[in-house]
Amino acid sequence: MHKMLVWPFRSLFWKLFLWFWLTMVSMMVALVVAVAITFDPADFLSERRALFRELEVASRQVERMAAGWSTSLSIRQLPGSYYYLFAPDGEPVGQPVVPAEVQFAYRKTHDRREPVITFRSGVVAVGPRKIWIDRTPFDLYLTKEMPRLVHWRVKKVFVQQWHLVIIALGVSFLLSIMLARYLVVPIRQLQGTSRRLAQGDLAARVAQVVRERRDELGEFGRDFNHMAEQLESLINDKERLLRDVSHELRSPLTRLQLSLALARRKSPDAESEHGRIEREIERLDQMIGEIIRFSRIQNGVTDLAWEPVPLHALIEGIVDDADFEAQAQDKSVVTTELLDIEINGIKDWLGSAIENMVRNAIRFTPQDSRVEVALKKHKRYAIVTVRDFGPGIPEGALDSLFEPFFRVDDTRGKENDGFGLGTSIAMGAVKNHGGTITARNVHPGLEVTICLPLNHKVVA
Amino acid sequence: MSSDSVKLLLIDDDVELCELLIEYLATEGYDVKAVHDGESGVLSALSGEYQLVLLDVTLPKLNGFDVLKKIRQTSDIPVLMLTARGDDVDRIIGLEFGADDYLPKPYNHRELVARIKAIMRRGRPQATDSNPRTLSIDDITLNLANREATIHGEVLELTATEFMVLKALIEKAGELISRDELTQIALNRRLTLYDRAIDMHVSNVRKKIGTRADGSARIKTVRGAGYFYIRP
Repeated sequence: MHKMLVWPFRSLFWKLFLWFWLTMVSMMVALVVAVAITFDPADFLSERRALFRELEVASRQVERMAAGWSTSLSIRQLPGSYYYLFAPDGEPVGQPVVPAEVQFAYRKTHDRREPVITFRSGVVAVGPRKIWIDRTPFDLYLTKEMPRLVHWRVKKVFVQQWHLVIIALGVSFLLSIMLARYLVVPIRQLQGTSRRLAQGDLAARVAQVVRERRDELGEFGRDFNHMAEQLESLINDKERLLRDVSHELRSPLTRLQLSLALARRKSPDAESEHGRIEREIERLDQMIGEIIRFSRIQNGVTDLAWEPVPLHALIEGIVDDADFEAQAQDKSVVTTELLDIEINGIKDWLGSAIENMVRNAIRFTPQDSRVEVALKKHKRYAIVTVRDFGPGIPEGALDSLFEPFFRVDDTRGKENDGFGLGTSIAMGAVKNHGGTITARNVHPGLEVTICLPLNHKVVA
Repeated sequence: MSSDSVKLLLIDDDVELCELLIEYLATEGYDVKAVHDGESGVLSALSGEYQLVLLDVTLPKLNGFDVLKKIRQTSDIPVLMLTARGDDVDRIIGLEFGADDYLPKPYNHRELVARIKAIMRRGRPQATDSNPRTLSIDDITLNLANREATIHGEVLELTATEFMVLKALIEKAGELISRDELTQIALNRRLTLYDRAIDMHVSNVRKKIGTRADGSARIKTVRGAGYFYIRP
């Protein structure tokens, strides 16, 4: 099974990861903001200092301006900061409207000697700072609105503590990746296993990593394996039945042959009937042999070894023999092109697949015509084509040509007794090599193409 | 049944088949006794009254391979294994355990008789008759007595039918033998319209004997008519 390390963006992995990460990041941001909102600045040394310093700077400016004193107070304001000057009688100077919070702060703190920080309904007020103007003590208050304060605080966090922010982002990123992987990897595993099952690898099972989990995914993995086992035993039972039936049929067939031999001795005058019986027995025997071969090739059951197979030599031999056989029927088999190609495979299976196609072609090509066999290379495939000059088969039947016991309605000449299992066995053999087999009409005749990948990986 | 007829022991649990085999092999001059399970099979095989054992693989009590092992512990009586399993694995195991030959079911009765004869004749000194008991052409030699074919002195694995085909071709080397005639000789039946069996047999023989040393063909097809062995 191939493990995808790079997941496509629409995959569950990315969705999970992004949502987790987003959640974590927004949680952190929310936390920072909440802290920024709810923290009393008075509890915060650095903030207190900053506020007092701001008040100090502002008061100096006011004192400096006292020479050209006017009722309007223009101080270079920091964003979000407001300044209020209270006269000794408590009246605000030059400010028609004083927010209630500032008034509250003034009432509460104007008799203090040192500035204090009051925090009420989102407004921070710092004061009083006594300023002497014309020997009159004025009280300067600095206020900051909460949103501004929060903004300022948050900004401060990001500007001054940026490495912490990056660490937090990094950690949350890693945690999200881990969590997403933790959930997605087993799903991927299950998916890969189900795909292998679908491709006919009945022994495919979910890995132990998934099975040992004690959550729903682990349960799913165990259930999945149970299902796969059931499936395997069902299919194997079916195949075994097919094989057993075939084997069982051979016993009565053997007895039949012997009875025939005895019958022949006893009544020599029924020779033609006996000959017919013998041929039918042979046919039955061949069919049973084919069923057994078919079932084994479908399951990929073999004790034959995978080895480098020189295709050109294999085809040369097949064509040579086939030509010899075809000559008896006034037909010939030739190679039109034969490249030097070697692939990894099971020689017997490849040979029987190609041989079967050649034999069918001989059957359907007319007398005095030939069957053409070629071996070419296309991209990373070896291409074997077998072409006859017969009537071809109806377009609609092309796809079913490789199904077991396929029959064309008598369009391919008198000698059509169907294809039996030969084409299906050929297809099974080619599929076991990771290849494909197709047929098309080439007017005149039929061309069968076998595509075999040059470097097929054998799944043990 | 004459007293000097060859005595065979048949170990097979298929009772009906045993009856048929006994009857058929009697017509070929063999005196066959059948037992239907492995244990009595071993006992009978070691009794010393039989010259050859026909042994089925699938047996109750003791399977064919176990029976063979037991027999081989004390006796080298020839054993021909009969089995429904045509797997190469079984074949190898059977011959490794010391079977003399092996025949998959459903076996052709003529093939069975040919194998029995071949086993019986093996290892016997050749009777030097005045009439030739061998047939040679090129580097191929057919021993008609034990139906063994050799090429370059190496044994050719031929079935009984293939042996008949090759024999017919060599006897008439250089002359055409029609497909009809070959069918009659090798398969003992008349050629019918779609009967391609003989072509398969000739093709198999051709595969097995290969080409001559110089690469030239040994057997030639005469289109639509028949075959002949090309004289060297």
